[in-house]
Amino acid sequence: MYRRDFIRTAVVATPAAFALPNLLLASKTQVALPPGGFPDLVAVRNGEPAPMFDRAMANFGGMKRFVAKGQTVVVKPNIGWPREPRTGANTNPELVKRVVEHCVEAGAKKVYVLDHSVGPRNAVCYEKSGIGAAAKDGGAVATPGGDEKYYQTVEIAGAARLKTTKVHELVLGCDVLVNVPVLKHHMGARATIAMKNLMGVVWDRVAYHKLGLQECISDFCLFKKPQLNVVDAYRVTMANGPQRARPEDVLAKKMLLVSTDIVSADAAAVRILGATPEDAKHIVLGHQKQIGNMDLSSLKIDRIAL
Amino acid sequence: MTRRLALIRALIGCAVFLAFVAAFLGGDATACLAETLPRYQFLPALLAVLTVPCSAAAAVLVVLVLLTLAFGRVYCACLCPLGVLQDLARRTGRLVQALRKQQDRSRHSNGDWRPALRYTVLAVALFSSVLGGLGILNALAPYSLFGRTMTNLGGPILELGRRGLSLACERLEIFQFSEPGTIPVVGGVLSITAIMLLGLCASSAARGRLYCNTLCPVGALLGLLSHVSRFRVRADRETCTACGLCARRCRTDAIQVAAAGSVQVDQSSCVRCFDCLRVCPSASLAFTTVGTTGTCSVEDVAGELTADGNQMGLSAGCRNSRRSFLGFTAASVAGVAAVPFRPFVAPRLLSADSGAVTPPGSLSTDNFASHCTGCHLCVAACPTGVIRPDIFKYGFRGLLQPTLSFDHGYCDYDCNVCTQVCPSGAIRPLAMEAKQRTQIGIAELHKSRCVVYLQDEECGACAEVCPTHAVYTVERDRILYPETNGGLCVGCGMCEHVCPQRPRAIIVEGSAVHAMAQPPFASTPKVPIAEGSSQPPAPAEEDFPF
Repeated sequence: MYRRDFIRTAVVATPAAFALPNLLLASKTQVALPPGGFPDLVAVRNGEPAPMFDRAMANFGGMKRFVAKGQTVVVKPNIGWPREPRTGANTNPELVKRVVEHCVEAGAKKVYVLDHSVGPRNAVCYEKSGIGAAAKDGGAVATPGGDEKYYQTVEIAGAARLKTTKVHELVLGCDVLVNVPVLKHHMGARATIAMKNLMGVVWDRVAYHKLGLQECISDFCLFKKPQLNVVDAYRVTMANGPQRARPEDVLAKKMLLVSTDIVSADAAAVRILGATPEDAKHIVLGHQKQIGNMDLSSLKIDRIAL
Repeated sequence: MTRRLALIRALIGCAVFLAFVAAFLGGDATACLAETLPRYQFLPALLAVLTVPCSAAAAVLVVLVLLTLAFGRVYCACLCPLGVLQDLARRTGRLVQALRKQQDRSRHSNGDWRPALRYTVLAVALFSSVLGGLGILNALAPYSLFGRTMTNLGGPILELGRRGLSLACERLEIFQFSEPGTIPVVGGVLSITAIMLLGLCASSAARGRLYCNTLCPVGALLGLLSHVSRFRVRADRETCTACGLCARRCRTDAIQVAAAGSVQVDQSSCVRCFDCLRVCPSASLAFTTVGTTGTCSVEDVAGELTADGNQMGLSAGCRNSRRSFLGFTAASVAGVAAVPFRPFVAPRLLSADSGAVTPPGSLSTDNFASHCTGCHLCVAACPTGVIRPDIFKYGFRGLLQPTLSFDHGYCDYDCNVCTQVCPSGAIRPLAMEAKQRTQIGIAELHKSRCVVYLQDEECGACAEVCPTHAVYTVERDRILYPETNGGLCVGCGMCEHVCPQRPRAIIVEGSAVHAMAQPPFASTPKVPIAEGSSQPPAPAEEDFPF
């Protein structure tokens, strides 16, 4: 039903077009502004993934603030690898399910869950990670990302190196993008969090590695900034990530970070790995390119322990 | 019953044919067929027996030989998928003729050249195979030819169909058919397969089972056995009117009708399709054992004719016997004669620097090249498309044997499908744990070409995807540089596949003899982690580090 529509969308796609839903959203928002305004980042710890997300969204004024009735939402977890949930290689399926449920409750017309998996066979990754089933349970459609036909070429204005790339048509056509990465150590990029997770909505990842991984990760965020970033730090791969960590490398941090600012989310989450944004240079580059703010001291952060 | 035999063999043949098509093209859904059916094929069973004499393959071979000794070439009639394929081509040809209202042109003289060619092919194939080169055998063997047809021609057609279906289904948000399949198209192999298939279909449309009695080495071998088979097609001399319908209908030109009551059937050519039984207007033909009263065998006819002082000279029956004997002798001599030369010739046929990566379970390049029948079942079964058809990768040792190409894919760490389906012992069965330790090659990092070393900029694609920690990164000045540990490497080629450099900076060198890699880095969990999130490991309460 949607393919052709999105091809059309892609043809006229400009970053400005994506700002439109945000403008509309402002008028539709019925959430009362709390005294002192909404936080930039909410960090919750010591709970299960779903209750932690509920708590974080309460502080953000609920999902209705981001998703208006009748809108199309893409939830982008990390479904990169054919690994079970206990390995922490993919986003926690319970969290994905809860995020989808929030979107559905907010009145979303359609919620899609997708990732261009790294591991062989998209469908196997969806199945083994438990996210395919979780998405369906939550009321979303788990759509495949493993075929080039879904990807449309876009230009990225202001990009240093990734001037053009092919993006999944559902991401191009959606009203709201909810980024649900899992926090992991990464042997290539040092850390994979929210910014790096968006590599899963493009087709040609080899180009990133060829042109400069850190620059390209930040360049893509110039094109598309998710309305909401939900960082799963429940089981955290502290070393030997992203996919073959030994059991002792995976720690139960039981944390969750939610932010509207993709750079802030990364800057805070990377510290859970015992690193700084300077270690994962795409975060610094994101700050320099004014994609977001990595200076945590200037942010309004709600820290919650359940 | 006699007339129904043709129908029964046609039904069995069609069922076998369809099952083989499914085995090659059905993917995961028909894995059970792919893992069993090809093992009942003659050539794979023969090659498997040569390495492991006491195996299920030996039983298969014994059954096939006994079957042929009892009933003749029933294997060719309904157990060989290529035979059934030819029958389908022949039927189509006849249909076209009927539509064009043409005369049935399948009538032709008995080709005396065919037995000579048949036994020459058998002798040459046997000689070259024993010498160490499976090329001729692989190129001509019926199962190999059928397999290549399915994989190289049927596979791409099926994938195009899947694409169409996925487009239609995705409109309805059904994503069952959305997983892209692999199309292992290799121009040369595709052309060879297409040409051979066209030639085969053309020849069978025009002349029936011509291939089975000329180029097919398995047919020649079974024909020798069939010559002394217990059950034969015989004519009742009392009722036979010598109308010649059976001879005209025969798809193997095995029947000669000289005069009333002298129907001669060449038992080594006859593939037991039983069409003659069905078309005989006087029901004079029967499929019976030797010595049934009222019928005459070929030998009887021969004796009768000469006793009658017929000027035919040597009868067809005698000629056939003599030819078979000569053929058998020639093939045996060729096979035996090659034995002493094998140790010298075989290694020289395999290009030593081919660098071919062979599938896990193949033990060594040598073992693979000496057992692979070139059926490409592993190519069809490989879910990542890393096993690709090839022509000359192994030199003259194994024409048309497949190899692994990391340009096109990589060997999935969690997959052992090829080891489960190979029917000929070229790829031995490997349990998942054993497969994950089998070192088919070793990755070599060429730092002079690596992005990270050249530009001091992070990449790490190779280290990120490595399933065993054979490639990892080391931090220097806040930059992660890739390094390799060959002992852990299984040669899956994922690193090579994702490397952004051209030529690639990390390349898997195939191991001529497969070794065992060290246990994988993440294999033995020191701290068992409970399944599900309700029981997370060690709930340590810790404050935010920001």
